[in-house]
Amino acid sequence: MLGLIIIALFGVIAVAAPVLSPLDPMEPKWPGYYPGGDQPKLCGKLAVPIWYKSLLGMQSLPENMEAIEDHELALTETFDKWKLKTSQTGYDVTVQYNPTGGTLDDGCIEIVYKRDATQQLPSGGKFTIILGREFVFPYEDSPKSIFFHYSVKLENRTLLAAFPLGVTTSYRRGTEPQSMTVKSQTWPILQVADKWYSKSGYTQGEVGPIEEDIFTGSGNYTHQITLTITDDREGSNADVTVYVDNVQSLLYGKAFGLLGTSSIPLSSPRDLFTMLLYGTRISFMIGLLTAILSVAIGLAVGLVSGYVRGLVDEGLMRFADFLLVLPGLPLLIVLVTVLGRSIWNIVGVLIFMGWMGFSRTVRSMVLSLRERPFIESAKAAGAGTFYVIYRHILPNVFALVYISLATAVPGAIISEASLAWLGLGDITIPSWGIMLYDFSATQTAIVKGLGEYWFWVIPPGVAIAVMAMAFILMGFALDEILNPKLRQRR
Amino acid sequence: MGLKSYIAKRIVYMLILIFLVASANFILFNLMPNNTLEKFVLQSTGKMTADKLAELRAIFGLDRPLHERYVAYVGNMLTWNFGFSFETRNYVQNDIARVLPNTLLLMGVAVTAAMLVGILLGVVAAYKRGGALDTALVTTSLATYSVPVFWIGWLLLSIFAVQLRWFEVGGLEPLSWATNPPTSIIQYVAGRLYMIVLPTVALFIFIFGGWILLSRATVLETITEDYVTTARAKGLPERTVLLKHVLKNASLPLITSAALTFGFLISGAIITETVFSYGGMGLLVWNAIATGDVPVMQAFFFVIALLVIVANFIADLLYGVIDPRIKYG
Repeated sequence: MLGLIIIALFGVIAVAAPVLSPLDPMEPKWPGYYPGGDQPKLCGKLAVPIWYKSLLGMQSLPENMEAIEDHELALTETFDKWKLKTSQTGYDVTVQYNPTGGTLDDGCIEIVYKRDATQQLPSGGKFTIILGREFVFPYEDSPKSIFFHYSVKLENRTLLAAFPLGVTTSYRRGTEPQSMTVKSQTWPILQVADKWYSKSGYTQGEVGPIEEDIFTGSGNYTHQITLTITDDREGSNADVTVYVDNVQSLLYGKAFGLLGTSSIPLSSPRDLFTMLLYGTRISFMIGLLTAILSVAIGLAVGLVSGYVRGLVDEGLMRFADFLLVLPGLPLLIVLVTVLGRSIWNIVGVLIFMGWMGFSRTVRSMVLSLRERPFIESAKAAGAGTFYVIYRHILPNVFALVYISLATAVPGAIISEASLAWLGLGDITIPSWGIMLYDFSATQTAIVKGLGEYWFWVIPPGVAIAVMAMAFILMGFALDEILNPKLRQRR
Repeated sequence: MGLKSYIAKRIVYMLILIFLVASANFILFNLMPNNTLEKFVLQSTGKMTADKLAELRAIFGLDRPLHERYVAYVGNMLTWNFGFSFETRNYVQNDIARVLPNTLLLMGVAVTAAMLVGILLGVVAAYKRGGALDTALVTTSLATYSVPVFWIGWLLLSIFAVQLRWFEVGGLEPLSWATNPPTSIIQYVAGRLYMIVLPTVALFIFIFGGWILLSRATVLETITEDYVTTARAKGLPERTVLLKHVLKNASLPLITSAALTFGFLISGAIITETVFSYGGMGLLVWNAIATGDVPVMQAFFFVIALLVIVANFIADLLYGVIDPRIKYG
């Protein structure tokens, strides 16, 4: 009974997985429009579960946040929040909102820089414009990593420098005069072209913990984007228009989701809770498909073998004996290696190796049934072989089917997990086995143990155990209901 | 039919099975759609010297027609001639001879302990059937039976090796042996035993639940027999009834089961070894999977199947010898 409840619960989770967690289980991405390069990942690697904050009092842990709202500049109000600063005064600089010039034909920032031929060059031949946008960072601890992004377009009618525009992304805390430049962002536009350039990057992987240097506590911060226009042709006019769009900083939290995040793949760590939910699906599919098909094959073979007897029986049973002798996991390893690691191959192999035991049970039962008087009379009444099997023998052995169905499921689930663990799983599928395989690939179990990242290892392991046990319990219960002899003994 | 002809028949049956396994191996590695063996030999052209490659091709007879290859292949399998590993470039048979005893040691220790503890607890559970202890034992067995063995291994590793540092994280020999190797046989044995503790415990936990359930079931089968009631009725102490009358009769199906669970045991051992980097057959095949080392994999499968076949053979013989009621046939 308990088994049935647990199975039903898992069934609901399996069906409702996309509703319970709308995230993508394998390659989750941050929603939103980010042209050029890859879509940013959804979460930082190895973030802890979000309830650590409330339950364990780790309030300082940051969550995911977007520093800038409406980075597509669809609304004029958003533009008004941008502040402008120039390196020198005396030049004709206008900044305005362009409602149709953006990358999606929506809004963008338009900066026009003009210098008359008679005017002096800006110092060093470079004119710097700083666009700043203030935001509130509410967490004491620094974010796990930062994703920054911008799109720029240059309409250069007069400047002929090889590197007409450089762009730098930096952050400034409160009113501090010094801003922290995120490394390696200065990016000269190599061509003079009327085309959008989009650039993005993560701070992670740079030298030193940049996030900790930038974010030293909660407070007001400014996301800055510095445009450096090269204007070094003396005696000629300068008339440059720079369009800026999609300026964004995504601050990845150290806490994410109900069960934290994995570190695999690094380009888009997975939300472990979502993976756990989808794993229910996969395990159910593997377990039930394997159980149903292998029991069906076992039933067919057992019926034919037991009723028809003779050479057919001999051939089928010798083949079954042979397969029974072969060791399970090694044969699985070999077959999956030879056939390939797709989930369908794994299920196919599990079916191929799962039918023998049941066919033997069915056969022995059929052997005793076929000698009974009611079969005899059916035959005497002129019933054909198929009719006798279908109408008289099948109903009598069918009780066994339910029991074997229930007991075949856990084996399949555990086999899939074991195969995945050995590196023979289908890594394109969010199964519990793959979750555990991912963890073993990080070598953390050997280096640090399970304590720190328990939320990655314990849930799938417990899920496998609970689901397997639920099916075994159901098998036991069915056995007791359908085998009166067992009930008597208790 | 007498005992002798029974044994003879079993031996013939075993030889047929071994031959069939070698043939299955040939089919798997030579006739499957993407012709794994040939592909890997071709792939490794750059990896080893020309004459080693030629030797490999000759061993598997890749240049000859299919039927000749089949004969050569089965011949090679039966004569323990598995070719070179693509990775280590050792003879595979030497590698296997080196690691097989380690696996057998691990399995032997674990299965002995599991049988002793499992059968004993199974008898207790059956005797107190329906009670709290029985329920607890059955639940524990089901739980350990349902958990993947590598997960059990991780828990043990995490608690006893990483946190408490009672044991080393893995390997066949203690790390200190790299600098000062053992000087006496006692030191050697002690060191090896020290390293085998955690993998054995993991494997033990994985299999002992099955033994509890099995012995509980078989004991329950016999405990309701009439002669047990008779034994009780004539005033024998419970202990004597349980051990002499019940367990002795229940032990027959247990012996057959021992052979049948051998495949299960091997599967558990393979995975346990990879968790603890214990240098046995499991670790060998794990590395072979990672590198696509086909000669190692086919030899591994053949040797493991051979072990299972031999185990079944021994169980059949024991059964025939122990149970006088059995009709050899």
